[in-house]
Amino acid sequence: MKFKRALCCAMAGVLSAVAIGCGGGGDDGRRPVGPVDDGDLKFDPNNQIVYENVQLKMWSVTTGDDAKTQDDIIARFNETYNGMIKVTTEHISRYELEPLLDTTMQFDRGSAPDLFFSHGSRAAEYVEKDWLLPIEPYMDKASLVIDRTDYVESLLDATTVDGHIYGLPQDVHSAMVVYRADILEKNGLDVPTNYQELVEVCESAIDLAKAGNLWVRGENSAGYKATDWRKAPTTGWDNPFPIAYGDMWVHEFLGYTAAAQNGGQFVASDGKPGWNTNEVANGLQVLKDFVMPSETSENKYPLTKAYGSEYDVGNTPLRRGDAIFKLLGPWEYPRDLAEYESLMAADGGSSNIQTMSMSNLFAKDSSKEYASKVKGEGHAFMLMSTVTSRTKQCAAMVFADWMVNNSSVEWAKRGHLPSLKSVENSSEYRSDPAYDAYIKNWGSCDDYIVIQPTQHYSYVDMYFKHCVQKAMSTQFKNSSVKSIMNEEYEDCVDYIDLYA
Amino acid sequence: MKKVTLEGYAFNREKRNSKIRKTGSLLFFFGPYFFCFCLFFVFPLVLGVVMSMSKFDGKSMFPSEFVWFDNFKTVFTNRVMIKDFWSSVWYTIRFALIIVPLCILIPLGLALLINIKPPCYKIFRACIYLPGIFPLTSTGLILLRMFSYHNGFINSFFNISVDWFGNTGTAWFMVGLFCIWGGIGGNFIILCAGLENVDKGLYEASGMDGASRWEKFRYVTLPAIKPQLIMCIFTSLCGYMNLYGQNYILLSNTPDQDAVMTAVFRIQNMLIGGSKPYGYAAAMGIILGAIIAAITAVQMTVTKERKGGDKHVRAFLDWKESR
Repeated sequence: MKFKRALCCAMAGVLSAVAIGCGGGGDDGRRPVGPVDDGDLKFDPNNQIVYENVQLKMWSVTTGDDAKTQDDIIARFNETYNGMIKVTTEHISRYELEPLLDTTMQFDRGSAPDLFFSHGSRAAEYVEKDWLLPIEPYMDKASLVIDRTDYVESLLDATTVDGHIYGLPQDVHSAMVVYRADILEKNGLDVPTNYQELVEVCESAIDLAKAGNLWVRGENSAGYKATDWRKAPTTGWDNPFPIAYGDMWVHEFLGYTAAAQNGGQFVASDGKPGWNTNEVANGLQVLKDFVMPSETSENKYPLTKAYGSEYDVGNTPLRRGDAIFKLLGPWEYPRDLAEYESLMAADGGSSNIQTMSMSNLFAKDSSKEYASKVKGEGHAFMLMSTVTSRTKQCAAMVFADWMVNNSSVEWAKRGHLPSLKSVENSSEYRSDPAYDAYIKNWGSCDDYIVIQPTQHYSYVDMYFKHCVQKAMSTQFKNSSVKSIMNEEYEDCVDYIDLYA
Repeated sequence: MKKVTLEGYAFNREKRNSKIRKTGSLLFFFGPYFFCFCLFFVFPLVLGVVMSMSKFDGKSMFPSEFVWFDNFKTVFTNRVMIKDFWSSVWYTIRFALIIVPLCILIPLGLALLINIKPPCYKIFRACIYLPGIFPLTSTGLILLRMFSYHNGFINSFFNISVDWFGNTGTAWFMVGLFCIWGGIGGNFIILCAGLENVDKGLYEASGMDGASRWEKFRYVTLPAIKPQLIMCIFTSLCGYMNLYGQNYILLSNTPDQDAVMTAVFRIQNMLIGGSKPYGYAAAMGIILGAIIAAITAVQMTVTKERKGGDKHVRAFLDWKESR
């Protein structure tokens, strides 16, 4: 009896603590979607908002070189708005950012940032958690305009939940293709522009190698220099486009892209996964054929070795001349250019490699409108629900708007194409040497699509990636892509229903 | 007014001072531990039980509704829960049944060898313990590189083509290797210490009675290091039933994730996206804890020293008589 009473007391104590904690959530659910009042705003005689030393704190998902570039751009903003608005940024890796924000928003809301720079496609999940404020009322208050026609439609859609915009998209990025222009040229092979041509180029190269007629070059263990041309071996040169399901470029971008280029959609109208369709299966079949060609596939040879769970599999073969194509994150391309510039300085330097977007390269029917689509991921500026000062809210909008309009080519050099068509078409953007050198090869940002908003994003995304990995794995060689997708879909929906 | 004698006053004062000293000592020595025990064990445990009986709305990390045993019921009856959680528990148990004996026998063998005290045995002892002090992540990355499918040292050296981390069977083998490589050091040191303390006179006596090497090991060494062995089995079993890091580091890219997820990995995996799954995850944690407690209870019962502990004496006399 005593034990039971003690247990009840303990439970009551913990529950009380929990209930007190629940109360700590503060102003959850406060999301003005219409016009807002002036709050603590101050106006000058011209009815313009006065910003006096407004300090904004932003958490950014960027790290490494991206973080440095972003800091430089923000420093320009701080200089422009000196004495008015100052933004300080904390860079936190994508793996730590959400858990940290989760904890902060629960237990220490006072330390939460004012702005959050992260992937826009996650906005619906953040809104579900009450982390974000819709930005339109504050954009209006700060006399700023969101011109929907100027934005890449898919990017703005991703941050739009129930008709309200929760993030201002800054950019879009994806993986892209790097190819050995010198090897293609030397062997009289054209740069492919669609899937059929890609298969043809790869298979022609393999046939040439088998016949002892494929010229390649690159440093290898036999002592060849990077610029020495040699004939590829008649056996073993069978890996023209190395990809692996363990590669981030594949499971983050290529899987989705192959599905999208074959007409696939990813999110159903109710927010549940919409990828269990024949169109998506066709896209994943293209990737399966890459590794394990069948009688019905376009390619008769595998276009890549089965690299399994490895990652960054294209770097070494491409450098050695054992491959012609590879996938890469565009933010790493400048580094590649520098590497080849030094490696092949004796003959052409960095001009021996070129880049292009994945547009059309995995579409079975390149005449379709969706064949040019590339799955991207975009960053967006989001306003945290913890910001209560109207001045801060408006200042945050001024900052976000400035960044979207002024980051331009510096940010694009890091692989992040602008979200605004007006920026993409601006003379400043197009006149930069980097634009002609490589940025233009990544295509129009209009071709990029991101995952439609869903509060179940984590599950929709995770189970789709399982499908991609299994479709390309030799362990599932005898399972059809559709059966893999059915099984993953069932599990995904079961979890979503369980939590609904 | 009550009169107090000098002796009485001195006695009471000393009694009071002694009580203060004792309480002070108790608080000083036990207090920090008790505080940490409550903060890091009792509170999370009670909170975990409360969470396992609660529902979460996805917005807050705090419960929104008390649902009693609904979450437990779901874990036992829901299709996807049965498929995912219980299969991962079963994988974990099977793995523990294989790896725990290995993580006892290998260190035991090494400890016996070291106990012979060959030349430079201290260096060998340090080398055997060394892998255990490396962080899990570093050892994992080394293994990932060594066993890489196309560029790995192992495949190149043996001229084989095995995707160690891509196929379910080989992936579990790698986890086993990781556990043995990084995990035997602790058991090895404990068993070495146990062997050091075995009374040498017992070996001499058994030798005079004509015991062979095996018989010395069976009837002298093993009983003497039994407490250390039981402790090693207990800690290894608990540790490997909570296996997570090794699988996370090595097998995050294995395509058949369902087949390589341990129970803790599955629970951890449920925490993505929001707080809605917290109740189920907590219920799973409580169930897993109960399973581990049940298994260790069985193990402790089986290995328990029975009362009337003259059975070894009787066994020895029986053996001697039989010769």
